Amino acid sequence: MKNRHNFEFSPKTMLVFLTIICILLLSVSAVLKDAVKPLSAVAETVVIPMQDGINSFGVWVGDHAGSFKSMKELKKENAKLNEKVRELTQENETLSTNEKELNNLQKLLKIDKAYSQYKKVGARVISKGSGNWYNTFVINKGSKDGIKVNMNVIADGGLVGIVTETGRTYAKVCSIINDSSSVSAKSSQAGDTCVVQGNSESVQKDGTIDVTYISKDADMKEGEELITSHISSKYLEGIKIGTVSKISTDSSNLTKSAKVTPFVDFQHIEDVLVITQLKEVPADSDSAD
Amino acid sequence: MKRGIVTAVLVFICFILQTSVFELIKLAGITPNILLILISSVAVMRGQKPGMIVGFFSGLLMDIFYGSTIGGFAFLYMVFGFVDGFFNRIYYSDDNILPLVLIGVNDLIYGFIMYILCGLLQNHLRIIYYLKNIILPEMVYTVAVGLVCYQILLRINDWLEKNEKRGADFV
Repeated sequence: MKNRHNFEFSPKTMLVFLTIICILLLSVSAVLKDAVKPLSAVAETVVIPMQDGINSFGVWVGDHAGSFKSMKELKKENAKLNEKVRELTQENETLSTNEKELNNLQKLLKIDKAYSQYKKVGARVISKGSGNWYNTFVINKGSKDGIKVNMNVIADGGLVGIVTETGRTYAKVCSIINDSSSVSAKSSQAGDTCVVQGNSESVQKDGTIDVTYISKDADMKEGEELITSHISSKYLEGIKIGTVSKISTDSSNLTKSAKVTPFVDFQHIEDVLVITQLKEVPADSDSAD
Repeated sequence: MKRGIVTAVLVFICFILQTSVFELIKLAGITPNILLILISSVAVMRGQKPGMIVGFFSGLLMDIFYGSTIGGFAFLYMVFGFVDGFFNRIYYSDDNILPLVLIGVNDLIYGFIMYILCGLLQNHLRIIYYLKNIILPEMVYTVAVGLVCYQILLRINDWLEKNEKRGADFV
């Protein structure tokens, strides 16, 4: 060891020597820019994979350290975001409900125009009897708003039913699909009179209700529209009911019966219009209904 | 021989650490200069010549990767090694203050030189801004990291010296 020391330069010699190397390197790389490229390439192939490895390790460590540190923050943020999600979901629901309502009301408006000869009051269904179908239901308008028993109720498409009972702020409606309901009707083209009777069984099966007492000579055709007739004691004339199908002659051979598919979707009634006009008939007159 | 390999590996590790891991754990956009820690530590522990060689090669690495011309950092770091080597004469291995002071002063000077090269020559005259936002924070951070790094390097040096002594005994 001692021997080798004797042959080595002093620090100052070394400083001069290395400085000269540096100056050489500087001038070479300044003059010949491409000369150092191979050197860089070699160094990069060696060092960059290592840097990558360490970096991914560092990222992993950093991630974990960060996640511990900010756990509290994240929880806070999560709670906040959840709150926000709830809020937005609610808002979204409200909006889509509003849109649906808008559609419904627009349909009602159309009906309102179609039956413009009658005065009407808009009402909302607030409860219904059991089952999916609106056999009988309650609306949110009552005698306070001028609703009286036997007033006709219509919705998008046509006749819904008739008011059977009124309270101060509510009214019960019996719909035409109710088994106890019968409506005197006529075909819109031929004018053949008949009676539309509720049938809660067939309405659940295929959405139709019964039509009876069609004269055997009547030339009512399938697909024809039924409207309320002029001889009805409770129903105003000319309200659409539905389309006729399955006309058949009864076994008595005196009358025919058929099925009618109501225009109103009795599974989804939300808003209805009550016609605030009663059909005036003498109290003792015969009723077709 | 063993010392040479260990030192080369140390230079390499410090370089990779500085350019990868410490880039990730920046504080306020500042990375500590651990190559400078290595150079100061080696120079003060081993003397001028090892300090110069370590400085030269770590500077060369910096040049190859980040400089447009090769030799600038090599010269700068070599001079650091040379100057720090003077303090080897008043250094004892249980003296923890001197190396840290050297590291801090080195980094301060390094910061000013970088300011002159990168800032002043490109007409950025806001020395106060550089001082407050780059030079002083880097110095503080480097000294803080140096506190740990120096202890590790000291242990490695002790271990190498022990090995060398044993080798000398055998010879």
